[in-house]
Amino acid sequence: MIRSKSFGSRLSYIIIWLLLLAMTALCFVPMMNMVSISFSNSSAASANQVGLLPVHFNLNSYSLLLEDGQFWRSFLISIERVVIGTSLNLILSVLMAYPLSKTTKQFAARNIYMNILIFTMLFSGGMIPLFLVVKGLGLMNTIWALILPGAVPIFDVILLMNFFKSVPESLEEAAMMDGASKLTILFKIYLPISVPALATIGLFAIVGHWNDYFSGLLYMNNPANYPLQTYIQQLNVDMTKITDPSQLKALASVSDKTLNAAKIVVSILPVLAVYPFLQKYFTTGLIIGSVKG
Amino acid sequence: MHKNKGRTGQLAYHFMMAPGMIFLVIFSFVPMLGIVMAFENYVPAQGIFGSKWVGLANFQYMLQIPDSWNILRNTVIIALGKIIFGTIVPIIFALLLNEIRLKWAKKTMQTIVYLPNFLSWAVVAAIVINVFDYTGPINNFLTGLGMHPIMFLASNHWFRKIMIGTDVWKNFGYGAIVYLAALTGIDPGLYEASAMDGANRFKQLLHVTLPGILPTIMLISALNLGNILNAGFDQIYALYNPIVYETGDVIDTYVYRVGLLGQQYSFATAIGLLKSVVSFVLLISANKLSIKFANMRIF
Amino acid sequence: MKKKIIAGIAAGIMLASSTVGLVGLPNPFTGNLQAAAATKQQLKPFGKYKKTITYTIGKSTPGIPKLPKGSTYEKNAYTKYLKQLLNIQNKDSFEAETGDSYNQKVSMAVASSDLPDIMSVDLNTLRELVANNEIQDLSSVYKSSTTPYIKAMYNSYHGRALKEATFNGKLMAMPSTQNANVPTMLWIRQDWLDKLGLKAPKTVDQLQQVLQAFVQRDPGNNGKGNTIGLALSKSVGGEYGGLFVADSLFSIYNSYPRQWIKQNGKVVYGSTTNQTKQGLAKLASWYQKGLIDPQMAVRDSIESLIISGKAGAFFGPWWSGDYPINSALQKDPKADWKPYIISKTGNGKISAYTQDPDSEFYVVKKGYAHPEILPKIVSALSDRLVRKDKNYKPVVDFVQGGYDGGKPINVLVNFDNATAQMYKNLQATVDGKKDPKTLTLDDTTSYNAIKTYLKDPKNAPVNAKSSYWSRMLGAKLMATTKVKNVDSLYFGQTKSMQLKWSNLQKLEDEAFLQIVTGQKPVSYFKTFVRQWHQQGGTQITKEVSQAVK
Repeated sequence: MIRSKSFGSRLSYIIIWLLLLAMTALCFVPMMNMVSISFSNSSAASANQVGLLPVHFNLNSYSLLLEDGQFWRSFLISIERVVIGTSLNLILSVLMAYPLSKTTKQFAARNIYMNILIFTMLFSGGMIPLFLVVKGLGLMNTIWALILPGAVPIFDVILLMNFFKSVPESLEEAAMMDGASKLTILFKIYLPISVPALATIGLFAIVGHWNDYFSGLLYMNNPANYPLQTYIQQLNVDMTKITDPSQLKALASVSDKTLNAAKIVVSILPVLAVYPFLQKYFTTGLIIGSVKG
Repeated sequence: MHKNKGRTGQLAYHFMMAPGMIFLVIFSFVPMLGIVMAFENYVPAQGIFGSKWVGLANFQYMLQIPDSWNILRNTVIIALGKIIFGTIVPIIFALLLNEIRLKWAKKTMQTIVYLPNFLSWAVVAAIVINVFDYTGPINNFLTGLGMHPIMFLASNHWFRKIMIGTDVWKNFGYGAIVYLAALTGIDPGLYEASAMDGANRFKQLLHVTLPGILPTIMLISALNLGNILNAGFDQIYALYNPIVYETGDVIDTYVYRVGLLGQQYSFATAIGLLKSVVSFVLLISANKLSIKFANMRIF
Repeated sequence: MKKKIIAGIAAGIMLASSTVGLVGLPNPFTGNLQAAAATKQQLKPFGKYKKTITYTIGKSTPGIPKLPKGSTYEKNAYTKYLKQLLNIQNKDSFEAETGDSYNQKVSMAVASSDLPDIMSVDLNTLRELVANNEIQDLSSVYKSSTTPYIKAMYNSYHGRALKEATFNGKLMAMPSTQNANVPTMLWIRQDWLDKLGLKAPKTVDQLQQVLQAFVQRDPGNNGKGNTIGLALSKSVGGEYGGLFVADSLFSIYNSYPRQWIKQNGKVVYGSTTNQTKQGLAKLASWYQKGLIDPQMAVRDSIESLIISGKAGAFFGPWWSGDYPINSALQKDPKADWKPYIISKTGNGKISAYTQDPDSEFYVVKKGYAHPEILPKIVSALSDRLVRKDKNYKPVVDFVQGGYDGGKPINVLVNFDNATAQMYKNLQATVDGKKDPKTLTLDDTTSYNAIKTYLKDPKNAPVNAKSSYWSRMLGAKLMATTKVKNVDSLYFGQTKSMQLKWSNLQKLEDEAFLQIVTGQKPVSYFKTFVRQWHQQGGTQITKEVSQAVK
């Protein structure tokens, strides 16, 4: 190793470092800029003088945000959605993954179910028929409209199924001898050893529920019931309505940049809160997902 | 006795499947009945089963519209760009990162570049709008160089590039994880052997590293094949505007805007159906391909 | 356990089939049919109901909520007013931001045949709803429950306003109107004219001479070759009341580009007429002489030419003083823009095409027991509240507080000549013939700005100046110019248009731009017209002729 530290290899090492730092900075700077804007005073922000660090550091936008009832209402709706939605996703995934992890000998209808699942994963009736169903069930304007249509996360079921497949058969047989029911086996034997896999899909479900903005737009009949990301998306909307380039410039000056930045920053805090756990598990997710066949 | 136990076992399995299946029936299969809308002239007041049957007229209409080709082109250009750069950039990042020995630096950089993947498009759109603003950082930089500021998001020249670029920006870190995992799976003995043969770093990359992660690249590319008609609705819907419909309108946004907002329900369903079928075929072939070449199955 | 499974499956099937039922057989008659129809007294425009009548609406909201604290879209100064006056109360079926979000809600409501009692739709949706028999005939309640003042406003469009909402002689919607915004005028740099000792142009030839002088003699000190005579948009013409389009020039040749008009008893598309060729030829000759922005084909921001003081003239509507001239004044307070009318002989008599008189349509769901509520609300909001009850305190406070979006329906009815009226009222007030207190809220704001300007015109603040130029100079030309109206006949989309229109528009855009900028000779116009007809124009013309019959 020491011998190989020639000039050329040192140079390439430096280049590698520079490239990596550049790529990292490219990710970091735009996010940091948003954070800095939220802490800057609004005239500096609207004049685009804010770079990596806040200009005239202050907490005005955050104290304004504290009084913004709609923001917090949306925030709570999103939290509620994450809690209920993720729980439901997990319960259903576990219940479905277990039978599907059996062979056709053990569970005759296994392949039929599997094909149904794959078919529904790849095929859908489209937005309008689904809307009609949601509406027909009276779910419009309720949190259930955001949760129930995606209650079965098929991809997660498959992930978990693959994980269950790797659980040694002998464990289950031993429990059967003791007269345990299938459900007991699932909850007493499979679940405890599946914690990493469950954590993975749970975390992804959390992020997925938190980040979805479009179903709020579709199923909520009243902006007061928008989940947080739909609320955030509506802040951007003025930009997308322009039909004339000149409006773009005018908009920049009227929007309340620092307050909006604060809203965005606060909206990603929950993601940051689960991020360390995500980081711990997301490799697991990829690995259990790709089982050699 | 034994037989009987088997039966209850089967029933228990069905019982476990039931809750999930009920949801699938309600929210996947019942809506699929809506596909018949694609073959009729759906009039809401007459219902799905009362509207007039028109056969393939909606599909013919689709082929006649000059917009169709434009939208297909936009979709494929944006999706392909995302697939290509969304594969190359993570590989490069993984290769570079793999060279670093400093543990904490590696960890820090990973932490930062993975993060955008977990932000919603609503948030990323806000960041993009901020960065590409007419008086924003990039244009400040351009004017600093003596160039004219550009209205990036209202420019047909730039819009598709920005869609591809921001998508790669959001996802490349996370995409690198799988390659990093593949890199650690390469037998260190291979490097030693090639070093003995006098191979330099570059040759090692060419003859050991790349072949080592090739199956992974193949698998990911095959998976992406099914996405060739998915240019990213959430992203484009959050960022486009009427000025860039010409270059930024993709199948999903068109279906939403013209089909849904324009109340051409049957037409929208027909396009959606065609897209589903094509994607379905592509994914099935992708699965076949990946089994054949990489001995991996997607599902 | 078996029982449970069977029960589970059964429940699943039941749920599934019940949703099928809901999807398959939507019931359009979910309104409160049982409610008794209105009495004769209640049919009067301001007849109050004994029991509170609740009506559901689709509420189109401003982007950023601008309601006072504690108010909602269902409970604010306006809903309170309606409750007091008529004893009616809105309940919002949905609330969504104007634009995509609102259209999505309307579309979904239509798709599921579950309309609110009253909502606003566009022309295409209106036609669909009529064809599918989902909305009510309003003919009789329009007669009985609309005030004469509202009727007079609709009638000021000479029947055009209600014609679009009338199907087989039945009035199916009440539209919001768009009042006249023509003629567009020539805005020119008065200080440049003065500096060169030129008179304001009155004819096309005089304008040509003035532009020539601007370009050659550089009165703005922009440096040789940097002065632009006329700033012109890429689209060249055919945008009603638009900025930077040469509609006032085209109309001199009796050309009305991009409009469906009647010529010699036949419906024709204005862009394809020989008259339009003449207009284009004139512009092409100006472009060749360097009188028009040489970079018009690639110019992104035409405003920047005005603001930076490079351009000497442009065509624009009466409000050009507010934009872009206001911005120009902020940069250079000496930029002295004045509006003039160019006419064929210089006598000031011109012609102009009319615009779509309606911007949106309010419809009442079939089966709703109180269709008269719509004309009553329109009468209350567009008549009584702006005249008799204009001092109604809660609403005055609401408006003065800068709040917005309180009206349950944003219906706006106005006289076709509202801008000219505004000018007349302001002028009369300035002359001391009208009490400032009698002005509407908007006009009061304008009046104050005008007063500030008149005190010291030279040193007036920019906003006062631009307000004066728009409302006293621009609007004056609207009020005093003799205009022969040429009716634009059709604003919807025919069947073939859905398929082919965007392509034809592209063809048209390119032809106009190429001819003006000299990339194609004027004789190319003939080729363009032939292609236009071949690529669907003939069929579309036929369909439009049928539609306007």
